[in-house]
Amino acid sequence: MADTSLSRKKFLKIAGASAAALWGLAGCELNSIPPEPEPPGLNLDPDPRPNDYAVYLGSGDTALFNYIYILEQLEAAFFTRVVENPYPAMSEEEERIFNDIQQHEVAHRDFYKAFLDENGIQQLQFEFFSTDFSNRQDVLGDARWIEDIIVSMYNHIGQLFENPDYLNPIIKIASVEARHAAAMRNVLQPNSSLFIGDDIITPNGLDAVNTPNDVSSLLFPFVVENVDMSELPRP
Amino acid sequence: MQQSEQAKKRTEEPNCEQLGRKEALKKLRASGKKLARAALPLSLIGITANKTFAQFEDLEIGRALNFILQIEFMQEAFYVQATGTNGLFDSVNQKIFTEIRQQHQARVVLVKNLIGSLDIDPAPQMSFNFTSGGEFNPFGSFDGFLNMAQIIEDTAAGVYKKQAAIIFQHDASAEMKRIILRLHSTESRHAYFIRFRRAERGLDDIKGWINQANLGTLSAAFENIYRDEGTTTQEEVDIPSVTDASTQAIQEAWDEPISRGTAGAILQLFTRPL
Repeated sequence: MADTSLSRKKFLKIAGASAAALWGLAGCELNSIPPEPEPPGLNLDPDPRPNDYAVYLGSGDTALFNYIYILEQLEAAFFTRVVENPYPAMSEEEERIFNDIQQHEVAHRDFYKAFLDENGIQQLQFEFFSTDFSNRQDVLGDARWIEDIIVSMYNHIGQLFENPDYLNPIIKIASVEARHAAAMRNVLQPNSSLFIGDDIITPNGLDAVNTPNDVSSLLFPFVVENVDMSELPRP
Repeated sequence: MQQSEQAKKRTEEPNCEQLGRKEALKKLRASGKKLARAALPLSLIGITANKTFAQFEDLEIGRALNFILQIEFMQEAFYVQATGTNGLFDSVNQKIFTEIRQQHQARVVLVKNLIGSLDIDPAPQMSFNFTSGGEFNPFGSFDGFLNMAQIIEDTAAGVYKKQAAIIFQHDASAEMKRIILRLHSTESRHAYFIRFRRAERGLDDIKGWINQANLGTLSAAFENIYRDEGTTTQEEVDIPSVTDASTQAIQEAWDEPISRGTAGAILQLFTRPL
C-alpha cells in the first residue's frame, strides 16, 4: 500500500511539472492573451488501479508460500466454524475427526505465518456462503471438496518453487491433507472405496492436480479480500 | 518492483543457515561443471559438458525412481497375495483391497515407464515372502493383514517424501515432479484408510493420522518407521510456541520422510533368501 500511494504521488508530481512546462511555453508567445482559467469543477482523484486495495502476495517463492498460507487460513476457518457450530446429532466419531482436522489446520496456518514472518500477508476473512453448517451432508460434502482441492493444489505447486528444498515443508503437510480428504470421504461413505474413488484417483493411481489459477477460481470466492496474484509464478 | 525485490530477498533469509550446507554443495557442483568445461576443447563446450551434467542428474533421478519402484513392487506383491488368499476378506473388503491392488499394479507400470523415459533400466522384479520365514503372519487373518498393511502403506508414504526431495533437487521435468507428488498423496489416502480400519477394530489406539512415534502392538522390527513422528519443529519453527494447537495435533499434522536405509531394511526382511 505504502508503495503504490507513493508512486501515485510521484505520478501527480510529474503530471504537475509537465503542465507547468506547457504553461511556461504558452507564456513565451508574444502578445498572447492568456486563456480564461477553467472554473474549478468537482475534483476527481486519480482512479485507483484494481489491485491498489488487494492483498499483495509478493513474488517468487514468497508469493507461492503466501498463496498456500491463504488456503491454510481458509481450511482453519472452515473447520473452526464446523467445530464451533456442530450440526445436529454429530456422532462422537465425527466430532473427534473434525476436532483433529481443525487442530491440524490451525497448526498448519500458524506454521506458515511464522515461517513467512514479515513477508506474510495478514489474516484474511472468509465467508462460506454456500455451506449450510447445520446440515451434515452439506458440511461433509464441502469439507471433502475443500480437502480434495487442497491436495490437488499441493500436487501442482511443488514444481513452481525456485528453491527445490521448499518441497520438504509442503510435502509433509500435503500428506496429512490427503489423509483428511480420505477421512471426509470415509465418513460420507464408510465401507466403500470412495476414499480412492475414480472421481479423484486415476486408474494409474494418480491423485488430482490443479494449477493455482484453477484452485483460486474454486476457492477464492470464499475470501472476502481481493488477492493480487500478479507476481505469482505460473506454470 | 521495489517491494517484490525486497520480498524476494527476505524469502531467502529464514532458511539460509539451514540451507548453508546444501547451498555449498550446489555451488560446488556448479564449479565442478565449470572446471569440466574449461578442460574441454572449444568445439565441445556446451554439448558434451551439458550432456554429461544432464546424465548425472538423470542418474540420480533414476536411482530415486528405482527405489520407489521397489517399494511399489512390494505393495503390488502384498496385495496380490492378500486378495488371492481365500477367506481373508469379507466381500466388502475384498472389493476395496482389490481396487488398491489394481492401483498399485498400474503404478508399477507407470514408474517403470518414467524410468525408461530417462533411458535408464528399471530395477528387476523381486519376489517377496511377507512371513519372512514364519516371523509374521499377514495372510492368516484380516487383523494380521491390516497390521502388515499399515507398515507397508505408512512406509511407502514416507519413502515417496524422501525420494521426491531427491527428484526435485536434481531438476526433474515439471511433469515428472507432478506425477511423483500425485503418486505420493494417493499413498497417504491408502494409509489413512488402513489405520482407520485398525482403530475401528480396536487393534491399536491409533488414528488415521500418525500421532507421535507410536508403534502400538506392531512388531518392533518396524519401529524405525515412526521414529521422527514426535517432532514439533519444522523448518526451524518451534511450532508449539507459535500456535494454540495441542502438541499431539502438531505431531499428527506433519508426516515425516522415511530414509532409504530404514525402508531398505524392511524390503530386505521380505526379500531375504530363506
